[in-house]
Amino acid sequence: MFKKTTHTKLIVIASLLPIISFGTVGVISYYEINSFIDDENWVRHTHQVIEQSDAIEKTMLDIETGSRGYAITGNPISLAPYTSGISQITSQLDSIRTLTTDNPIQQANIQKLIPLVEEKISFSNKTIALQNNTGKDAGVQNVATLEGTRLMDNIRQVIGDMKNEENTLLEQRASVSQASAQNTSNTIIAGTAIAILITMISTIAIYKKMQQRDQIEKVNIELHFETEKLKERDNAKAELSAMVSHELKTPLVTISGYAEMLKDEAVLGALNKEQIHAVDTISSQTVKLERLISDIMDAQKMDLKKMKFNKRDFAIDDLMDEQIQIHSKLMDEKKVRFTNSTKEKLKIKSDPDRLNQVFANLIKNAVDFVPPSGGTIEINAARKNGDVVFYVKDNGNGIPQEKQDGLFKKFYQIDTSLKRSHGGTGLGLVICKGIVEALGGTIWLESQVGKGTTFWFRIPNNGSANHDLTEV
Amino acid sequence: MKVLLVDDNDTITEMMSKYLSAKGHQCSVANDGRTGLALITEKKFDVVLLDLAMPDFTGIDVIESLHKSGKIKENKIILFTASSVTDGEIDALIKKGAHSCLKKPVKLAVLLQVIGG
Ligand SMILES: Nc1ncnc2c1ncn2[C@@H]1O[C@H](COP(=O)(O)OP(=O)(O)OP(=O)(O)O)[C@@H](O)[C@H]1O
Ligand SMILES: [Mg+2]
Repeated sequence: MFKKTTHTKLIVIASLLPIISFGTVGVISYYEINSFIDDENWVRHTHQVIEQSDAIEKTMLDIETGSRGYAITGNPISLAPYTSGISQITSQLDSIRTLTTDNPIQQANIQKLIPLVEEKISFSNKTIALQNNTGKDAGVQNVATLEGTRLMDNIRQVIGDMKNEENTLLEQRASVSQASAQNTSNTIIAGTAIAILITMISTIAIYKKMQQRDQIEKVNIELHFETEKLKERDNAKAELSAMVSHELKTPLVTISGYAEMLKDEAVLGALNKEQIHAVDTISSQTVKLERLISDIMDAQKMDLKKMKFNKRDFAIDDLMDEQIQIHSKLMDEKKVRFTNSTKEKLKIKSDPDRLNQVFANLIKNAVDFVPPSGGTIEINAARKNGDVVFYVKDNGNGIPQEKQDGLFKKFYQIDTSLKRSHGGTGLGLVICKGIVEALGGTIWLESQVGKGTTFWFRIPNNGSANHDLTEV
Repeated sequence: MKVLLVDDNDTITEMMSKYLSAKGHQCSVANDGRTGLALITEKKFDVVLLDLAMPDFTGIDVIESLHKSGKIKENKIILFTASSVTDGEIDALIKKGAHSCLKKPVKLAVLLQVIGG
Protein backbone atom coordinates (compact mmCIF):
# COMPACT_ATOMS: atom_id res chain seq x y z
CA MET A 1 0.00 0.00 0.00
CA PHE A 2 1.00 3.62 -0.25
CA LYS A 3 2.15 5.85 2.61
CA LYS A 4 -1.24 7.29 3.26
CA THR A 5 -0.39 8.14 6.88
CA THR A 6 2.44 10.54 6.02
CA HIS A 7 0.09 12.27 3.62
CA THR A 8 -2.56 12.72 6.25
CA LYS A 9 0.05 13.90 8.73
CA LEU A 10 1.39 16.47 6.29
CA ILE A 11 -2.05 17.79 5.50
CA VAL A 12 -2.95 18.08 9.18
CA ILE A 13 0.29 19.93 9.93
CA ALA A 14 -0.17 22.19 6.93
CA SER A 15 -3.69 23.10 8.05
CA LEU A 16 -2.65 23.64 11.65
CA LEU A 17 0.27 25.98 10.83
CA PRO A 18 -1.87 28.97 9.73
CA ILE A 19 -4.11 28.52 12.76
CA ILE A 20 -1.08 28.43 15.05
CA SER A 21 0.55 31.47 13.43
CA PHE A 22 -2.64 33.54 13.54
CA GLY A 23 -3.16 32.46 17.13
CA THR A 24 0.37 33.57 18.02
CA VAL A 25 -0.17 36.95 16.34
CA GLY A 26 -3.42 37.31 18.28
CA VAL A 27 -1.82 36.53 21.64
CA ILE A 28 1.13 38.89 21.07
CA SER A 29 -1.21 41.65 19.91
CA TYR A 30 -3.38 41.17 22.96
CA TYR A 31 -0.41 41.75 25.29
CA GLU A 32 0.87 44.65 23.23
CA ILE A 33 -2.50 46.37 23.25
CA ASN A 34 -2.87 45.82 26.97
CA SER A 35 0.48 47.44 27.70
CA PHE A 36 -0.46 50.28 25.35
CA ILE A 37 -3.68 50.82 27.29
CA ASP A 38 -1.62 50.81 30.49
CA ASP A 39 0.68 53.51 29.16
CA GLU A 40 -2.35 55.54 28.12
CA ASN A 41 -3.76 55.25 31.61
CA TRP A 42 -0.58 56.70 33.02
CA VAL A 43 -0.82 59.67 30.66
CA ARG A 44 -4.37 60.30 31.77
CA HIS A 45 -3.30 60.03 35.38
CA THR A 46 -0.67 62.72 34.90
CA HIS A 47 -3.30 64.99 33.40
CA GLN A 48 -5.46 64.43 36.46
CA VAL A 49 -2.64 65.43 38.82
CA ILE A 50 -2.02 68.63 36.84
CA GLU A 51 -5.74 69.47 36.87
CA GLN A 52 -5.91 68.88 40.59
CA SER A 53 -2.85 71.14 41.17
CA ASP A 54 -4.57 73.89 39.17
CA ALA A 55 -7.72 73.41 41.20
CA ILE A 56 -5.82 73.77 44.48
CA GLU A 57 -4.17 76.96 43.24
CA LYS A 58 -7.55 78.33 42.23
CA THR A 59 -9.11 77.40 45.58
CA MET A 60 -6.30 79.17 47.44
CA LEU A 61 -6.85 82.23 45.25
CA ASP A 62 -10.60 82.08 46.08
CA ILE A 63 -9.82 81.92 49.81
CA GLU A 64 -7.53 84.94 49.47
CA THR A 65 -10.00 86.88 47.31
CA GLY A 66 -12.88 86.17 49.73
CA SER A 67 -11.02 87.25 52.85
CA ARG A 68 -9.50 90.30 51.18
CA GLY A 69 -12.86 91.41 49.75
CA TYR A 70 -14.48 91.03 53.17
CA ALA A 71 -11.69 93.11 54.77
CA ILE A 72 -12.29 95.90 52.31
CA THR A 73 -16.10 95.85 52.07
CA GLY A 74 -17.16 94.38 55.37
CA ASN A 75 -19.99 92.81 53.44
CA PRO A 76 -20.50 89.10 54.30
CA ILE A 77 -21.47 88.43 50.64
CA SER A 78 -17.83 89.09 49.72
CA LEU A 79 -16.92 86.08 51.88
CA ALA A 80 -18.59 83.57 49.47
CA PRO A 81 -15.37 82.52 47.55
CA TYR A 82 -13.62 82.08 50.88
CA THR A 83 -16.33 79.82 52.28
CA SER A 84 -16.50 77.57 49.20
CA GLY A 85 -12.67 77.44 49.07
CA ILE A 86 -12.44 76.28 52.69
CA SER A 87 -15.03 73.62 52.08
CA GLN A 88 -13.10 72.21 49.10
CA ILE A 89 -9.45 72.49 50.04
CA THR A 90 -9.21 69.48 52.39
CA SER A 91 -10.69 67.05 49.91
CA GLN A 92 -8.59 68.52 47.10
CA LEU A 93 -5.41 68.00 49.11
CA ASP A 94 -6.47 64.45 50.00
CA SER A 95 -7.20 63.66 46.41
CA ILE A 96 -3.86 64.91 45.13
CA ARG A 97 -2.12 62.98 47.87
CA THR A 98 -3.75 59.72 46.81
CA LEU A 99 -3.15 60.43 43.14
CA THR A 100 0.59 60.75 43.77
CA THR A 101 1.17 58.06 46.41
CA ASP A 102 3.55 56.29 44.01
CA ASN A 103 5.69 59.40 43.48
CA PRO A 104 7.96 60.41 46.46
CA ILE A 105 8.90 63.77 44.88
CA GLN A 106 5.25 64.81 44.71
CA GLN A 107 4.66 63.51 48.24
CA ALA A 108 7.49 65.75 49.44
CA ASN A 109 5.99 68.66 47.52
CA ILE A 110 2.63 68.04 49.15
CA GLN A 111 4.37 67.91 52.52
CA LYS A 112 5.72 71.38 51.74
CA LEU A 113 2.39 72.60 50.39
CA ILE A 114 0.21 71.63 53.32
CA PRO A 115 1.84 73.97 55.99
CA LEU A 116 1.80 76.80 53.45
CA VAL A 117 -1.87 76.19 52.78
CA GLU A 118 -2.58 76.08 56.53
CA GLU A 119 -0.60 79.26 57.12
CA LYS A 120 -2.40 80.97 54.28
CA ILE A 121 -5.78 79.90 55.63
CA SER A 122 -4.97 81.05 59.14
CA PHE A 123 -3.74 84.36 57.67
CA SER A 124 -7.06 84.76 55.87
CA ASN A 125 -8.87 83.79 59.08
CA LYS A 126 -6.89 86.43 60.93
CA THR A 127 -7.88 89.07 58.36
CA ILE A 128 -11.53 88.11 58.74
CA ALA A 129 -11.33 88.09 62.54
CA LEU A 130 -9.67 91.57 62.59
CA GLN A 131 -12.44 92.87 60.39
CA ASN A 132 -15.07 91.39 62.66
CA ASN A 133 -13.61 92.43 65.96
CA THR A 134 -11.44 95.45 65.47
CA GLY A 135 -13.07 97.02 62.42
CA LYS A 136 -12.55 97.45 58.80
CA ASP A 137 -9.15 99.18 58.91
CA ALA A 138 -7.46 96.52 60.99
CA GLY A 139 -8.39 93.93 58.34
CA VAL A 140 -7.13 96.08 55.51
CA GLN A 141 -3.94 96.73 57.41
CA ASN A 142 -3.37 93.02 57.83
CA VAL A 143 -3.81 92.52 54.10
CA ALA A 144 -1.47 95.38 53.45
CA THR A 145 1.38 93.62 55.33
CA LEU A 146 1.81 91.67 52.09
CA GLU A 147 2.24 88.56 54.27
CA GLY A 148 -0.71 87.05 52.36
CA THR A 149 0.86 87.77 49.01
CA ARG A 150 4.14 86.18 50.13
CA LEU A 151 2.30 83.02 51.28
CA MET A 152 0.37 82.84 48.05
CA ASP A 153 3.60 83.19 46.06
CA ASN A 154 5.11 80.32 48.06
CA ILE A 155 2.03 78.18 47.36
CA ARG A 156 2.22 79.03 43.67
CA GLN A 157 5.87 78.12 43.75
CA VAL A 158 5.23 74.67 45.21
CA ILE A 159 2.28 73.99 42.89
CA GLY A 160 4.44 75.12 40.00
CA ASP A 161 7.09 72.59 41.06
CA MET A 162 4.45 69.90 41.22
CA LYS A 163 3.13 70.74 37.78
CA ASN A 164 6.67 70.81 36.39
CA GLU A 165 7.30 67.36 37.82
CA GLU A 166 4.09 66.09 36.29
CA ASN A 167 4.87 67.67 32.94
CA THR A 168 8.25 65.94 32.84
CA LEU A 169 6.50 62.69 33.69
CA LEU A 170 3.88 63.41 31.08
CA GLU A 171 6.51 63.84 28.42
CA GLN A 172 8.17 60.56 29.41
CA ARG A 173 4.92 58.70 29.58
CA ALA A 174 3.64 60.07 26.33
CA SER A 175 6.76 58.96 24.52
CA VAL A 176 6.55 55.46 26.12
CA SER A 177 2.92 55.25 25.14
CA GLN A 178 3.68 56.32 21.60
CA ALA A 179 6.48 53.78 21.36
CA SER A 180 4.20 51.08 22.63
CA ALA A 181 1.53 52.12 20.12
CA GLN A 182 4.14 51.87 17.39
CA ASN A 183 5.25 48.50 18.75
CA THR A 184 1.74 47.15 18.79
CA SER A 185 1.05 48.19 15.23
CA ASN A 186 4.42 46.83 14.07
CA THR A 187 3.80 43.50 15.75
CA ILE A 188 0.31 43.21 14.29
CA ILE A 189 1.44 44.12 10.79
CA ALA A 190 4.54 41.91 10.76
CA GLY A 191 2.79 39.02 12.53
CA THR A 192 -0.16 39.13 10.18
CA ALA A 193 2.15 39.27 7.18
CA ILE A 194 4.09 36.24 8.40
CA ALA A 195 0.87 34.36 9.19
CA ILE A 196 -0.50 35.12 5.73
CA LEU A 197 2.73 33.88 4.18
CA ILE A 198 2.59 30.66 6.21
CA THR A 199 -1.05 30.19 5.23
CA MET A 200 -0.17 30.61 1.58
CA ILE A 201 2.68 28.11 1.80
CA SER A 202 0.49 25.67 3.70
CA THR A 203 -2.33 26.02 1.21
CA ILE A 204 0.04 25.33 -1.64
CA ALA A 205 1.51 22.35 0.23
CA ILE A 206 -1.95 20.96 0.96
CA TYR A 207 -3.01 21.47 -2.63
CA LYS A 208 0.07 19.62 -3.88
CA LYS A 209 -0.46 16.77 -1.42
CA MET A 210 -4.12 16.54 -2.35
CA GLN A 211 -3.17 16.30 -5.98
CA GLN A 212 -0.68 13.55 -5.16
CA ARG A 213 -3.23 11.77 -3.08
CA ASP A 214 -5.80 11.96 -5.85
CA GLN A 215 -3.23 10.49 -8.16
CA ILE A 216 -2.43 7.68 -5.74
CA GLU A 217 -6.09 7.03 -5.15
CA LYS A 218 -6.64 6.76 -8.87
CA VAL A 219 -3.79 4.29 -9.20
CA ASN A 220 -5.13 2.40 -6.20
CA ILE A 221 -8.57 2.13 -7.69
CA GLU A 222 -7.12 0.94 -10.96
CA LEU A 223 -5.00 -1.63 -9.17
CA HIS A 224 -8.00 -2.74 -7.20
CA PHE A 225 -9.97 -3.28 -10.39
CA GLU A 226 -7.09 -5.16 -11.94
CA THR A 227 -6.76 -7.47 -8.93
CA GLU A 228 -10.50 -8.02 -8.90
CA LYS A 229 -10.40 -8.95 -12.55
CA LEU A 230 -7.52 -11.32 -11.98
CA LYS A 231 -9.28 -12.85 -9.02
CA GLU A 232 -12.41 -13.31 -11.05
CA ARG A 233 -10.41 -14.94 -13.78
CA ASP A 234 -8.73 -17.21 -11.25
CA ASN A 235 -12.06 -18.14 -9.77
CA ALA A 236 -13.48 -18.85 -13.19
CA LYS A 237 -10.46 -21.03 -13.92
CA ALA A 238 -10.84 -22.89 -10.66
CA GLU A 239 -14.52 -23.41 -11.27
CA LEU A 240 -13.89 -24.65 -14.77
CA SER A 241 -11.25 -27.11 -13.65
CA ALA A 242 -13.43 -28.39 -10.83
CA MET A 243 -16.20 -28.94 -13.35
CA VAL A 244 -13.92 -30.63 -15.87
CA SER A 245 -12.53 -32.89 -13.16
CA HIS A 246 -16.05 -33.80 -12.11
CA GLU A 247 -17.16 -34.49 -15.67
CA LEU A 248 -14.09 -36.63 -16.35
CA LYS A 249 -14.40 -38.62 -13.18
CA THR A 250 -18.09 -39.42 -13.44
CA PRO A 251 -17.76 -41.86 -16.37
CA LEU A 252 -14.89 -43.50 -14.52
CA VAL A 253 -17.30 -44.48 -11.77
CA THR A 254 -19.19 -46.82 -14.10
CA ILE A 255 -16.14 -47.98 -16.02
CA SER A 256 -14.21 -49.00 -12.93
CA GLY A 257 -17.38 -50.27 -11.26
CA TYR A 258 -18.24 -52.62 -14.12
CA ALA A 259 -14.63 -53.79 -14.40
CA GLU A 260 -14.71 -54.69 -10.74
CA MET A 261 -18.08 -56.34 -11.11
CA LEU A 262 -16.89 -58.44 -14.06
CA LYS A 263 -14.16 -59.92 -11.96
CA ASP A 264 -16.63 -60.88 -9.28
CA GLU A 265 -18.05 -64.25 -10.33
CA ALA A 266 -20.93 -63.88 -7.96
CA VAL A 267 -22.29 -60.87 -9.82
CA LEU A 268 -21.96 -61.38 -13.57
CA GLY A 269 -20.67 -64.91 -13.79
CA ALA A 270 -17.26 -66.40 -14.42
CA LEU A 271 -14.83 -65.13 -17.07
CA ASN A 272 -12.14 -66.96 -18.96
CA LYS A 273 -8.46 -66.13 -18.54
CA GLU A 274 -8.22 -63.71 -21.43
CA GLN A 275 -11.38 -61.92 -20.43
CA ILE A 276 -9.95 -61.55 -16.95
CA HIS A 277 -6.78 -60.05 -18.44
CA ALA A 278 -8.87 -57.59 -20.46
CA VAL A 279 -10.81 -56.56 -17.39
CA ASP A 280 -7.62 -56.17 -15.36
CA THR A 281 -6.19 -53.88 -18.02
CA ILE A 282 -9.36 -51.79 -18.00
CA SER A 283 -9.11 -51.56 -14.23
CA SER A 284 -5.46 -50.56 -14.09
CA GLN A 285 -5.84 -48.04 -16.92
CA THR A 286 -8.83 -46.54 -15.19
CA VAL A 287 -6.78 -46.07 -12.04
CA LYS A 288 -4.09 -44.33 -14.14
CA LEU A 289 -6.64 -42.12 -15.81
CA GLU A 290 -8.12 -41.17 -12.48
CA ARG A 291 -4.70 -40.32 -11.10
CA LEU A 292 -3.91 -38.27 -14.18
CA ILE A 293 -7.08 -36.24 -13.74
CA SER A 294 -6.19 -35.64 -10.09
CA ASP A 295 -2.65 -34.61 -11.08
CA ILE A 296 -3.86 -32.13 -13.66
CA MET A 297 -6.24 -30.70 -11.11
CA ASP A 298 -3.44 -30.45 -8.54
CA ALA A 299 -1.10 -28.74 -11.00
CA GLN A 300 -3.92 -26.36 -11.79
CA LYS A 301 -4.45 -25.69 -8.10
CA MET A 302 -0.72 -25.09 -7.72
CA ASP A 303 -1.03 -22.43 -10.36
CA LEU A 304 -3.91 -20.86 -8.52
CA LYS A 305 -2.25 -21.34 -5.14
CA LYS A 306 -5.38 -23.02 -3.96
CA MET A 307 -4.22 -26.45 -2.96
CA LYS A 308 -5.49 -27.42 0.45
CA PHE A 309 -3.06 -28.24 3.23
CA ASN A 310 -3.81 -29.89 6.49
CA LYS A 311 -0.91 -29.73 8.91
CA ARG A 312 -0.70 -31.92 11.96
CA ASP A 313 1.86 -33.60 14.21
CA PHE A 314 3.02 -36.98 13.01
CA ALA A 315 5.98 -39.36 13.14
CA ILE A 316 8.23 -39.21 10.11
CA ASP A 317 9.50 -42.75 10.67
CA ASP A 318 5.91 -44.02 10.41
CA LEU A 319 5.48 -42.12 7.17
CA MET A 320 8.64 -43.73 5.82
CA ASP A 321 7.55 -47.24 6.82
CA GLU A 322 4.24 -46.57 5.10
CA GLN A 323 6.06 -45.88 1.83
CA ILE A 324 7.46 -49.39 1.86
CA GLN A 325 3.97 -50.84 2.43
CA ILE A 326 2.24 -48.68 -0.15
CA HIS A 327 4.72 -49.47 -2.90
CA SER A 328 5.62 -53.06 -2.04
CA LYS A 329 3.35 -54.57 -4.68
CA LEU A 330 4.73 -52.31 -7.41
CA MET A 331 8.33 -53.02 -6.35
CA ASP A 332 7.69 -56.76 -6.42
CA GLU A 333 6.24 -56.48 -9.90
CA LYS A 334 9.19 -54.49 -11.17
CA LYS A 335 11.70 -56.56 -9.19
CA VAL A 336 13.17 -53.49 -7.52
CA ARG A 337 14.96 -53.62 -4.17
CA PHE A 338 13.17 -50.90 -2.20
CA THR A 339 14.59 -49.89 1.19
CA ASN A 340 14.04 -47.34 3.91
CA SER A 341 17.31 -46.36 5.57
CA THR A 342 15.82 -43.90 8.09
CA LYS A 343 17.48 -44.29 11.48
CA GLU A 344 16.11 -41.44 13.58
CA LYS A 345 12.74 -41.26 15.20
CA LEU A 346 11.34 -37.92 14.04
CA LYS A 347 8.22 -36.00 14.86
CA ILE A 348 7.21 -32.90 12.94
CA LYS A 349 4.20 -30.82 12.17
CA SER A 350 3.45 -30.77 8.48
CA ASP A 351 1.00 -32.30 6.00
CA PRO A 352 1.65 -36.09 5.82
CA ASP A 353 -0.90 -36.64 3.03
CA ARG A 354 0.86 -34.15 0.79
CA LEU A 355 4.26 -35.62 1.69
CA ASN A 356 2.89 -39.03 0.69
CA GLN A 357 1.96 -37.46 -2.61
CA VAL A 358 5.51 -36.17 -3.08
CA PHE A 359 6.95 -39.59 -2.29
CA ALA A 360 4.47 -41.30 -4.61
CA ASN A 361 5.58 -39.13 -7.51
CA LEU A 362 9.31 -39.46 -6.85
CA ILE A 363 9.10 -43.21 -6.27
CA LYS A 364 6.98 -43.74 -9.37
CA ASN A 365 9.57 -41.85 -11.43
CA ALA A 366 12.43 -43.82 -9.90
CA VAL A 367 10.71 -47.13 -10.60
CA ASP A 368 10.32 -46.16 -14.24
CA PHE A 369 13.99 -45.31 -14.66
CA VAL A 370 15.84 -48.04 -12.75
CA PRO A 371 17.32 -50.86 -14.87
CA PRO A 372 14.96 -53.78 -15.58
CA SER A 373 17.03 -55.98 -13.33
CA GLY A 374 19.06 -55.01 -10.30
CA GLY A 375 17.14 -51.81 -9.73
CA THR A 376 17.43 -50.30 -6.25
CA ILE A 377 15.55 -47.45 -4.65
CA GLU A 378 16.38 -46.11 -1.22
CA ILE A 379 14.40 -43.60 0.81
CA ASN A 380 15.61 -41.73 3.86
CA ALA A 381 14.66 -39.00 6.32
CA ALA A 382 17.05 -37.22 8.71
CA ARG A 383 17.00 -34.19 10.93
CA LYS A 384 19.01 -31.19 9.89
CA ASN A 385 18.98 -27.88 11.81
CA GLY A 386 15.43 -28.38 12.98
CA ASP A 387 14.19 -29.28 9.49
CA VAL A 388 13.78 -32.73 8.04
CA VAL A 389 15.65 -33.65 4.86
CA PHE A 390 14.29 -36.50 2.77
CA TYR A 391 15.68 -38.27 -0.25
CA VAL A 392 14.64 -40.82 -2.85
CA LYS A 393 17.67 -42.41 -4.45
CA ASP A 394 17.70 -44.67 -7.47
CA ASN A 395 20.34 -46.38 -9.58
CA GLY A 396 18.60 -45.47 -12.84
CA ASN A 397 19.99 -43.95 -15.99
CA GLY A 398 20.34 -40.47 -14.49
CA ILE A 399 19.54 -37.04 -15.86
CA PRO A 400 22.12 -35.01 -17.81
CA GLN A 401 23.16 -31.76 -16.15
CA GLU A 402 21.82 -29.53 -18.92
CA LYS A 403 18.35 -31.09 -18.65
CA GLN A 404 18.02 -30.72 -14.93
CA ASP A 405 16.84 -27.11 -14.95
CA GLY A 406 13.70 -27.81 -16.93
CA LEU A 407 12.62 -30.75 -14.80
CA PHE A 408 10.28 -28.78 -12.59
CA LYS A 409 8.46 -27.20 -15.51
CA LYS A 410 5.01 -28.33 -16.45
CA PHE A 411 4.75 -31.11 -19.09
CA TYR A 412 8.53 -31.32 -19.27
CA GLN A 413 9.92 -34.68 -20.23
CA ILE A 414 13.50 -35.33 -21.03
CA ASP A 415 13.24 -38.00 -23.62
CA THR A 416 10.02 -38.28 -25.50
CA SER A 417 11.15 -41.61 -26.92
CA LEU A 418 11.15 -42.95 -23.38
CA LYS A 419 7.51 -42.16 -23.23
CA ARG A 420 6.58 -45.67 -24.08
CA SER A 421 8.30 -47.18 -21.08
CA HIS A 422 7.59 -44.15 -18.86
CA GLY A 423 3.99 -43.18 -19.46
CA GLY A 424 3.90 -39.83 -17.71
CA THR A 425 2.58 -36.40 -18.56
CA GLY A 426 5.35 -34.30 -17.09
CA LEU A 427 3.36 -33.05 -14.12
CA GLY A 428 4.76 -35.12 -11.27
CA LEU A 429 7.76 -32.98 -10.41
CA VAL A 430 5.76 -29.76 -10.85
CA ILE A 431 3.37 -30.99 -8.21
CA CYS A 432 6.23 -32.11 -5.94
CA LYS A 433 7.87 -28.69 -6.13
CA GLY A 434 4.56 -26.95 -5.55
CA ILE A 435 3.77 -29.01 -2.47
CA VAL A 436 7.27 -28.81 -0.96
CA GLU A 437 7.42 -25.05 -1.41
CA ALA A 438 3.93 -24.56 -0.08
CA LEU A 439 5.05 -26.41 3.04
CA GLY A 440 7.92 -23.94 3.34
CA GLY A 441 10.62 -26.24 1.97
CA THR A 442 12.83 -26.72 -1.06
CA ILE A 443 13.40 -29.54 -3.54
CA TRP A 444 16.53 -30.31 -5.56
CA LEU A 445 18.36 -33.21 -7.16
CA GLU A 446 21.72 -34.78 -7.73
CA SER A 447 22.14 -36.98 -10.75
CA GLN A 448 24.88 -38.68 -12.71
CA VAL A 449 24.16 -40.16 -16.11
CA GLY A 450 24.46 -43.92 -15.94
CA LYS A 451 24.73 -44.01 -12.13
CA GLY A 452 21.44 -42.77 -10.82
CA THR A 453 19.44 -39.92 -9.45
CA THR A 454 18.70 -38.66 -5.96
CA PHE A 455 15.82 -36.26 -5.34
CA TRP A 456 16.14 -34.31 -2.08
CA PHE A 457 13.56 -32.25 -0.31
CA ARG A 458 13.76 -30.35 2.91
CA ILE A 459 10.67 -29.66 5.01
CA PRO A 460 10.69 -27.28 7.98
CA ASN A 461 9.00 -28.33 11.18
CA ASN A 462 5.71 -26.46 11.35
CA GLY A 463 6.85 -24.84 8.12
CA SER A 464 5.03 -21.66 7.45
CA ALA A 465 3.30 -22.07 4.16
CA ASN A 466 3.97 -19.63 1.37
CA HIS A 467 0.44 -20.34 0.34
CA ASP A 468 -2.97 -19.15 1.17
CA LEU A 469 -4.24 -22.28 2.75
CA THR A 470 -7.50 -22.12 0.93
CA GLU A 471 -9.12 -24.91 -0.89
CA VAL A 472 -10.85 -25.32 -4.21
CA MET B 1 -30.33 -53.96 3.68
CA LYS B 2 -32.69 -51.45 2.14
CA VAL B 3 -30.57 -49.11 0.06
CA LEU B 4 -31.66 -45.95 -1.75
CA LEU B 5 -29.44 -44.66 -4.56
CA VAL B 6 -29.89 -40.99 -5.43
CA ASP B 7 -27.88 -39.93 -8.48
CA ASP B 8 -28.82 -38.13 -11.68
CA ASN B 9 -26.44 -40.32 -13.69
CA ASP B 10 -28.51 -43.42 -14.47
CA THR B 11 -25.58 -45.50 -15.70
CA ILE B 12 -24.17 -45.16 -12.22
CA THR B 13 -27.41 -46.08 -10.47
CA GLU B 14 -27.96 -48.98 -12.85
CA MET B 15 -24.45 -50.35 -12.27
CA MET B 16 -24.64 -49.96 -8.55
CA SER B 17 -28.09 -51.41 -8.09
CA LYS B 18 -27.04 -54.39 -10.16
CA TYR B 19 -24.02 -54.91 -7.97
CA LEU B 20 -25.72 -54.32 -4.66
CA SER B 21 -28.69 -56.55 -5.59
CA ALA B 22 -26.22 -59.28 -6.48
CA LYS B 23 -24.78 -58.82 -3.02
CA GLY B 24 -28.17 -59.33 -1.45
CA HIS B 25 -29.29 -55.77 -0.86
CA GLN B 26 -32.65 -54.30 -1.75
CA CYS B 27 -32.10 -51.25 -3.98
CA SER B 28 -34.36 -48.32 -4.80
CA VAL B 29 -33.32 -45.59 -7.21
CA ALA B 30 -34.10 -41.88 -7.51
CA ASN B 31 -32.66 -39.93 -10.41
CA ASP B 32 -33.10 -36.45 -8.95
CA GLY B 33 -32.93 -34.75 -5.59
CA ARG B 34 -36.66 -34.09 -5.13
CA THR B 35 -37.66 -37.71 -5.79
CA GLY B 36 -34.88 -38.80 -3.47
CA LEU B 37 -36.09 -36.50 -0.69
CA ALA B 38 -39.70 -37.66 -1.17
CA LEU B 39 -38.66 -41.35 -0.92
CA ILE B 40 -36.51 -40.71 2.15
CA THR B 41 -39.38 -38.97 3.94
CA GLU B 42 -41.98 -41.60 2.90
CA LYS B 43 -40.14 -44.82 3.49
CA LYS B 44 -37.50 -46.14 5.79
CA PHE B 45 -34.09 -47.07 4.30
CA ASP B 46 -31.10 -48.53 6.03
CA VAL B 47 -28.66 -46.66 3.84
CA VAL B 48 -29.01 -43.73 1.43
CA LEU B 49 -26.25 -43.13 -1.11
CA LEU B 50 -26.62 -39.51 -2.10
CA ASP B 51 -24.87 -37.85 -5.02
CA LEU B 52 -24.15 -34.21 -4.25
CA ALA B 53 -23.87 -32.75 -7.75
CA MET B 54 -27.33 -33.01 -9.21
CA PRO B 55 -29.03 -30.32 -11.30
CA ASP B 56 -31.90 -28.24 -9.89
CA PHE B 57 -32.25 -29.86 -6.47
CA THR B 58 -28.80 -30.95 -5.32
CA GLY B 59 -27.69 -33.44 -2.71
CA ILE B 60 -26.81 -30.47 -0.52
CA ASP B 61 -30.43 -29.27 -0.80
CA VAL B 62 -31.62 -32.76 0.22
CA ILE B 63 -29.42 -32.68 3.33
CA GLU B 64 -30.55 -29.15 4.25
CA SER B 65 -34.25 -30.12 3.92
CA LEU B 66 -33.79 -33.24 6.03
CA HIS B 67 -31.81 -31.23 8.55
CA LYS B 68 -34.59 -28.66 8.79
CA SER B 69 -37.33 -31.25 9.16
CA GLY B 70 -35.22 -33.03 11.79
CA LYS B 71 -35.41 -36.35 9.95
CA ILE B 72 -31.78 -36.58 9.03
CA LYS B 73 -30.70 -38.86 11.86
CA GLU B 74 -33.36 -41.43 10.96
CA ASN B 75 -31.23 -42.43 7.95
CA LYS B 76 -27.62 -43.40 7.39
CA ILE B 77 -26.82 -41.04 4.57
CA ILE B 78 -23.57 -41.56 2.66
CA LEU B 79 -22.53 -38.67 0.46
CA PHE B 80 -21.14 -39.50 -2.93
CA THR B 81 -19.14 -36.94 -4.87
CA ALA B 82 -16.56 -36.46 -7.61
CA SER B 83 -14.54 -33.60 -6.09
CA SER B 84 -16.82 -30.75 -7.13
CA VAL B 85 -17.44 -30.09 -3.45
CA THR B 86 -14.82 -28.78 -1.04
CA ASP B 87 -13.75 -30.60 2.10
CA GLY B 88 -15.14 -27.72 4.11
CA GLU B 89 -18.58 -28.17 2.59
CA ILE B 90 -18.44 -31.91 3.24
CA ASP B 91 -17.52 -31.30 6.88
CA ALA B 92 -20.48 -28.96 7.18
CA LEU B 93 -22.82 -31.59 5.72
CA ILE B 94 -21.50 -34.25 8.09
CA LYS B 95 -22.07 -31.85 10.99
CA LYS B 96 -25.66 -31.49 9.78
CA GLY B 97 -26.11 -35.24 10.14
CA ALA B 98 -24.76 -37.00 7.03
CA HIS B 99 -22.94 -40.22 7.95
CA SER B 100 -19.84 -40.10 5.77
CA CYS B 101 -18.54 -39.30 2.31
CA LEU B 102 -17.23 -41.43 -0.53
CA LYS B 103 -15.20 -39.97 -3.37
CA LYS B 104 -15.98 -41.00 -6.95
CA PRO B 105 -14.76 -43.24 -8.44
CA VAL B 106 -15.14 -45.64 -5.57
CA LYS B 107 -14.12 -49.27 -5.36
CA LEU B 108 -17.28 -51.39 -5.16
CA ALA B 109 -15.68 -53.45 -2.41
CA VAL B 110 -15.26 -50.29 -0.35
CA LEU B 111 -18.85 -49.29 -1.05
CA LEU B 112 -20.03 -52.68 0.16
CA GLN B 113 -18.01 -52.30 3.33
CA VAL B 114 -19.44 -48.86 4.10
CA ILE B 115 -23.01 -50.03 3.54
CA GLY B 116 -22.31 -52.89 5.91
CA GLY B 117 -24.95 -55.36 6.94
N1 LIG C 1 14.42 -40.67 -11.12
C1 LIG C 1 14.50 -40.21 -12.38
N2 LIG C 1 15.46 -40.70 -13.21
C2 LIG C 1 15.56 -40.25 -14.48
N3 LIG C 1 14.76 -39.32 -15.02
C3 LIG C 1 13.80 -38.81 -14.26
C4 LIG C 1 13.62 -39.21 -12.90
N4 LIG C 1 12.58 -38.52 -12.39
C5 LIG C 1 12.14 -37.73 -13.38
N5 LIG C 1 12.84 -37.90 -14.50
C6 LIG C 1 12.65 -37.16 -15.76
O1 LIG C 1 11.92 -36.00 -15.50
C7 LIG C 1 10.76 -35.95 -16.31
C8 LIG C 1 9.67 -35.25 -15.59
O2 LIG C 1 9.19 -36.00 -14.50
P1 LIG C 1 7.78 -35.76 -13.94
O3 LIG C 1 7.55 -36.66 -12.78
O4 LIG C 1 7.61 -34.31 -13.74
O5 LIG C 1 6.82 -36.13 -15.11
P2 LIG C 1 6.48 -37.58 -15.63
O6 LIG C 1 6.94 -38.58 -14.68
O7 LIG C 1 6.94 -37.66 -17.02
O8 LIG C 1 4.87 -37.50 -15.66
P3 LIG C 1 3.89 -37.65 -14.43
O9 LIG C 1 4.70 -37.79 -13.18
O10 LIG C 1 3.09 -36.41 -14.48
O11 LIG C 1 3.07 -38.86 -14.70
C9 LIG C 1 10.46 -37.38 -16.61
O12 LIG C 1 9.73 -37.52 -17.78
C10 LIG C 1 11.83 -37.95 -16.72
O13 LIG C 1 12.36 -37.73 -18.03
MG1 LIG D 1 6.46 -38.63 -12.72
